[in-house]
Amino acid sequence: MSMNHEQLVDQFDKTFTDKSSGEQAPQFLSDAEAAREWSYLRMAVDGVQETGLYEQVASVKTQWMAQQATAATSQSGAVVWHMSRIVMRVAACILILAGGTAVYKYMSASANHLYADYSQPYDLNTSRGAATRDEMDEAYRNKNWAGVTELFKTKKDKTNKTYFLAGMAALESKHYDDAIGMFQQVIAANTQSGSDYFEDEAEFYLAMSWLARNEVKEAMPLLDKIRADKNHLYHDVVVRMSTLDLRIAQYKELK
Amino acid sequence: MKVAGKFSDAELIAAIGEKESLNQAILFLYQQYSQSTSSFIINYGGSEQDAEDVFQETVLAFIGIVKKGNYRGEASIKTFLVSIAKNIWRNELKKKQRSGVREKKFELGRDQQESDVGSLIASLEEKKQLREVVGKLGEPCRKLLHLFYYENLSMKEIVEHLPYENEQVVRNKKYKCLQQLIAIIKENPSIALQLSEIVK
Repeated sequence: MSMNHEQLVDQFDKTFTDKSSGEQAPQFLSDAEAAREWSYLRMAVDGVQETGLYEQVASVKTQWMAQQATAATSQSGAVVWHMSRIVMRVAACILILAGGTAVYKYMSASANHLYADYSQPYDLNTSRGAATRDEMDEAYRNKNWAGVTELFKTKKDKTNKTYFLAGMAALESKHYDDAIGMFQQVIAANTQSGSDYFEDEAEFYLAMSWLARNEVKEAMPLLDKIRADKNHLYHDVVVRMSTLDLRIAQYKELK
Repeated sequence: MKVAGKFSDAELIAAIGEKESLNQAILFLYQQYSQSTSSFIINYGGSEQDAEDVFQETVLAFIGIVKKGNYRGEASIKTFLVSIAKNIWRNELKKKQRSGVREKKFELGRDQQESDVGSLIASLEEKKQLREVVGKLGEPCRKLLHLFYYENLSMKEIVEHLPYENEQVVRNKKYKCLQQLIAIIKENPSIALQLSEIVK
């Protein structure tokens, strides 16, 4: 039985979706050339699956490391409480010597300031999904936040994109709890499906929403994760964020 | 994904087999076993970064072994993971041509479990090369092939995820991407020759 390459790929996909996965070239491939091509297909798909698993493990590892970093920060916070009084006095002296600049830094660093300084409007024009323009996209582009929210409510097929845009509309309208819920939904859906559709965007704006709500503790694991991932869409933005300001804001929150 | 559920060895093996619970299983492996494995690597001259890399490769190898049904449960998961890590680190040391003394220490301490595991992870280097080949694809192609062959999404579902107009466009694009990947593999005859063992 002879078949062209496209038919061969179709046949391969059929056995792939049947879970038989073409471990061996099937019997009907008496043609040596076709059998060889089948092996190349198998090899290519092995490569894709191997890469997929590698990326999944790397992603979980990054999240785990972010958790570790947060745990370490909390522990060091606890250690501070147990520092001897002498060390505390030395620390106080250093603080005083640091002078007005440090005081100003301390006074001005807050989650709200961080949010104001680093949050940025999400521009749909520069994003994916241009081929699927719809009313919700238009409302978003026109900054009609109430319109986006209404259209989201009536939307039958909700996707990560619609949840994300609804989250952005809520964030722009200062409805931070709603925004957090929407972004968390995107991340939960991706965790469920193993996909990463709008994952980077949702993670960054979820962190921004927590900052807007003055919840630095919640934002930190996300920001640590983004900072650790050089391929993250918002890596550069988060790297520019002042770690000192974040720590001060977190400290203020713990007080 | 803050806290992974507590798994027994049997539950963990089952969780690795299910797409929905794989993330939880990987997180559990990191929470439970990365410390002990890393200590071992550091004791044998590795840096923290080495330990981190080796454990990541260990997790990948372990999942591969479990998915192929080759984990028979004769040793605990912890023992099995340490055996994999030892094998990977030994191979890494050989590659780096570090001191023969350490390698001798390894040989002296090598037990039957490690020898068995060694044969199970023999193709790790080839798999690494295969990942590098896939890495040469452009992002759109990688994403599309990933969704179809790793996430097992249908053409219809892929239309929802990627900015393509309809299923036929996705099908055509996927075919071209696959062709592109095979061409890259064929451009590397040495890799193709080595990796042909995998598809046997």
